[in-house]
Amino acid sequence: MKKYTERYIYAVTKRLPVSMRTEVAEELKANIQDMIGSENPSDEVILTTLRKLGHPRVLANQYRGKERYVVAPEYYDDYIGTLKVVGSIFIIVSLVTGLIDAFTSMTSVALVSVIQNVLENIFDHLWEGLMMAFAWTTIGFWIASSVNHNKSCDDWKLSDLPDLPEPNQIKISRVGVMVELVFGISFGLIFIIALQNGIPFVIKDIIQPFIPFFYIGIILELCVGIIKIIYGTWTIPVILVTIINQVYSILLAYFFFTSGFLDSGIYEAIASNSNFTISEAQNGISIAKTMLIWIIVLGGIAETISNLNQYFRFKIKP
Amino acid sequence: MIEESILINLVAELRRGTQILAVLGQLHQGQYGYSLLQDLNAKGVAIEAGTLYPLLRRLESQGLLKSEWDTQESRPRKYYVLSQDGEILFKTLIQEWNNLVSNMNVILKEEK
Repeated sequence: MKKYTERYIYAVTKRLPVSMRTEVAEELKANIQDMIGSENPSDEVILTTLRKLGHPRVLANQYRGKERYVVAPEYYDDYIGTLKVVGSIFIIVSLVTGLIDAFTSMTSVALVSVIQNVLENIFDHLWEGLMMAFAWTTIGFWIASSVNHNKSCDDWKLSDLPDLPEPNQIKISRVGVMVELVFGISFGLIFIIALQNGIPFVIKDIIQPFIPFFYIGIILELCVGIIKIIYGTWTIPVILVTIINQVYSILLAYFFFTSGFLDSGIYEAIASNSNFTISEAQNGISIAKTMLIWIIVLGGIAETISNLNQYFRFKIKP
Repeated sequence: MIEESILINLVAELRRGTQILAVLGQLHQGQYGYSLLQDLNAKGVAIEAGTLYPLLRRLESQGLLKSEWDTQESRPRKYYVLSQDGEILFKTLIQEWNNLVSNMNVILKEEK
């Protein structure tokens, strides 16, 4: 099957709206025949002629007249920017849901199978998350591009212009936030699951009411991470949510450690396995607990003050 | 040293703006696609077949050209000619072109 001319015309017209096809095909055929000249041309002559007309896709575009895009060029930069932010958020959410799935579906405690389970779940969720981020962002911009396609770009207001970035604003590293969240949340989840499964000398009934609050803490942490990624710099909303999160963590840690969750059997166990007496063990643990509470509270307060300091630095500026 | 591709692109862009004027200028009398292509090329207008044929259809859909199939000859051909609107628009375009040329001449003379 040769029929180069017919195949060329078909390659052009199949890319055109149905209403145009017949007429373009007839006209193109007449023009090609005129360009070829003779009634029985050689293959070489046909090919040279068709090459002069250019790639069928390009010629079809020329016939169609208007350019068509999934994302219009004037939206492209915004599209890429949004894709980065949405992609980062989906990466975090899928890592977290992957970790939750991995930890809750764990059937064996053997290290290899734990690692395999975690990796499999994370990879599955990550792939799904990235595809979703790409699909949703693209669909969103596709709709925006098509809806605003005929609107004139002259129709904009001065108030649409973005605010200038503060000169002393500190950038937040997206990768940093992601690493922080993945580690924070996986340790948090391991901690909660361990508490639920029972730790020796920890009274389950006392810690049980704290579990929902630990979950809230993880969700809060996730929200703060997402907000950090959306804003990208240490702006007032970011500082505020960070402070709220820190205050929540400090309070939760304080109430948890002062709740008396340790069974008194631990003192006897320490005394029988070491040279300490029961009262020495009691004292030691009490001091350790107090110190831990102070470290957590003071550390949290120090961080909160440094964040508050940043907050007021912005607020005082005109 | 300026890359040759940049020069080629700039020249192509300059020419692109003049193509419609050249095509309209040749269509006071009816012409079919290939005869117009040869005509333009003979007068030094560098326009590709793949650009000209779709352009003719576009100008027709804009109402600047009208067309008719001639089936008398052995090979059917579609002839294009300026419509009434096309004639009026062509005159306006010539005025615009003359303004453009005189403005550019002033600017380019200053350069010398």
